[in-house]
Amino acid sequence: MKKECKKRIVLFLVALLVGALGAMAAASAEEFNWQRFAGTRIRLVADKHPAADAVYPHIPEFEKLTGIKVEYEILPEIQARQKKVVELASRSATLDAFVIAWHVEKKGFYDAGWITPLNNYLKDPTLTAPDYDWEDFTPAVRDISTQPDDSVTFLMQQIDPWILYYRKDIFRQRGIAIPQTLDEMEEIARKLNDPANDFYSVVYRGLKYANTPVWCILLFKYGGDFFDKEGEPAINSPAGIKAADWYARMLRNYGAPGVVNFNWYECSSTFMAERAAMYFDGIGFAGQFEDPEKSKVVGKTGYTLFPAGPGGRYAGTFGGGYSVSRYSANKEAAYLFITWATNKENTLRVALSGVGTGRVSVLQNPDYIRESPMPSDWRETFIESLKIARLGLPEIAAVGEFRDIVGIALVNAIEGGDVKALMDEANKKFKQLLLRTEPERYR
Amino acid sequence: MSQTKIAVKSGFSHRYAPYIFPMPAVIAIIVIIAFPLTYTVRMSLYDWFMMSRALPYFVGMKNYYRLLFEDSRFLYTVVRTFYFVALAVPLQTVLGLACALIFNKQFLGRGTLRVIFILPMMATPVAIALIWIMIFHPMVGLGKYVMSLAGLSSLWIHSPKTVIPSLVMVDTWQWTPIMMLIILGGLAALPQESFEAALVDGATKWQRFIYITLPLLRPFILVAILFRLIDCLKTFDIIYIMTQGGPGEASETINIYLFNTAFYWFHMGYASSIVVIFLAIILGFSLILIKTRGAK
Repeated sequence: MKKECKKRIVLFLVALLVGALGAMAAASAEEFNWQRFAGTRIRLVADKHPAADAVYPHIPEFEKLTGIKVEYEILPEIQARQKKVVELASRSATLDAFVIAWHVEKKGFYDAGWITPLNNYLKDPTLTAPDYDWEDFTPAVRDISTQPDDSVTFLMQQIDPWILYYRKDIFRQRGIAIPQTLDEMEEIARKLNDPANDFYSVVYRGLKYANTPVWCILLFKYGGDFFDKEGEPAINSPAGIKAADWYARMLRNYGAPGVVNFNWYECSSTFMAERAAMYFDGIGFAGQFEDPEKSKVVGKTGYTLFPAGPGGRYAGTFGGGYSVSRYSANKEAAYLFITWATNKENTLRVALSGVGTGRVSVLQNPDYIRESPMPSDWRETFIESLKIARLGLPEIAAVGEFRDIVGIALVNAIEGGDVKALMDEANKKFKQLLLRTEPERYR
Repeated sequence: MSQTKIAVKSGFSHRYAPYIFPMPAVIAIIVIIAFPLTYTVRMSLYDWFMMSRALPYFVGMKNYYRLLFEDSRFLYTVVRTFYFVALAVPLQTVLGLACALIFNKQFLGRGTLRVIFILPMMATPVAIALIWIMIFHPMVGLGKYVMSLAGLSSLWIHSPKTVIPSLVMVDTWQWTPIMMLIILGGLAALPQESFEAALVDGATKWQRFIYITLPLLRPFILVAILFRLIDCLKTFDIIYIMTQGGPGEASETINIYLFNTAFYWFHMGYASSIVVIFLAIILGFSLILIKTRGAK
């Protein structure tokens, strides 16, 4: 009887112990643990970008912190896209995470079903580090990261609003104020143009495909949009035509010769060689202007918002972010990596390399303000741009082909073609493109 | 007895040798050529937009119909490709022949000059394209300076009118040497007797060239033309690097359009149908040339 009693007590104690251990285990599972996926390997495909250069040398820190081994491939944007599309279309389980160039791939990749929505992960305190702070990204940035159905599909790596670069030394010398409207900008261009001395008022992209974002931003400024209220393509609206006309007229009258083949590289080298007064492009290209080894315009470059049009003021925005593949076998581990790569510390690293980032805390960080290589008007312009940021290309699946269609119309407009006829033709092709690639729109 | 056995054995191997020996080559050809080709032809009958949830679906000849009857952009790329070839191949043939004749002569420094002459051929086309981009730079390029010395101006690859001739110039600069090398090989193999006979008969230099050198060189020149023709039709790297088919569509050849359709826009089925048409064009040209070579 006594023995029986002892046995029961022992059993009870054992049960108690097991229960307590179980409860402890349960409690720790509800807490965030970096080591949770130790021993996993993940593979990442990323675009070549200064942001990657700033973060990837620190990947060993992540590997030490989590025990996850990260393999990554960095490729130029176009090649990276080819690789991602081929692997995702074949539902490869070995691609876990990737950087998407969201200005092109946001809708296409999501519609194809290649991206894991991150909403539940972001809400899960066991998967998201307590100091990650999703709300720290500006509202515009969170909005861009989110699909129309409220799924968060990527975490922002870098954001590149377009701004106006101008030669502040020349503006000061000639007593010219920063242009606030497109008309003022044209007036200034008329004054400053000096082709006899190989000096031109404006330079921006003329090369087809690359040039389309310039027009898109002008379209917004003239109050237009890619679709009308019925959802029909409307790039030949009066706003679209005015935007194309302004785009082509400025380059034809005040632009550098040969600009029809200029991508950002030719444009920025022209600006850095002191051959252009104003240059309109992504804010991320500014780093090189302040580099004395490459640039003749160090300290002479002013940074400001691109002038407003009759339809308002917008900063067309482009950039890259991290997504988790729908087909990945290690989604949670991959998610852990992308939250690490976009946490406050790494975002600060990206920002310090002269790239635009979307975290409020980083933009206000005294270290950043002190150590940033960029002048204060660059930082102010960037912060202002984020307030008026708008995705600079249509959210359709076939963005590349859209860019091509509009880009060719713009080149022909620079060469002196009839702008209305060109945009009508482009709109027709745009409609055919949608019928082919997104037939569900018309069902 | 033993002799009959051997006879039987050799009968067996004789019977099957024609199948056994070429087998590795046949397998290699099936894997490397026949399979991808059949697969591409099959793909060309499907509509497959890679960036969508929709799986490839069979559309029959629709891609071909659209390509040949509705896609004016494609037809322009065909015209442009022929324009490129029509400028490049004759130019390279004449220059290659002239250079071969020069380098066939004995003169001081011939070896060194020959090496320098074939250097462009050795370089990577991408590197060459990047150098020529700088030469054609509309503001700081050497091309602009040279033209200004002659009192002219040209935008080279930056104007729709001059872009293809400018690209032909780069292609010619790079690939004339191969033309020269093939013809030079031919020159070295020419029988000397005919020349000696002609010399005895009192033929002039010009007559010897027209009536003896050229006819004897004909097979070599045709081979060289065939090589260059196919390569020119397929030219991709320098155009892609230097203009990406621009300004606008002004230098968009079949190959560039094909590349864009497949790897920028991800219309794999449609791109496959372009591949098939393009292959037919190249095969057609090759057949004509091979026939011409056979005809005496």
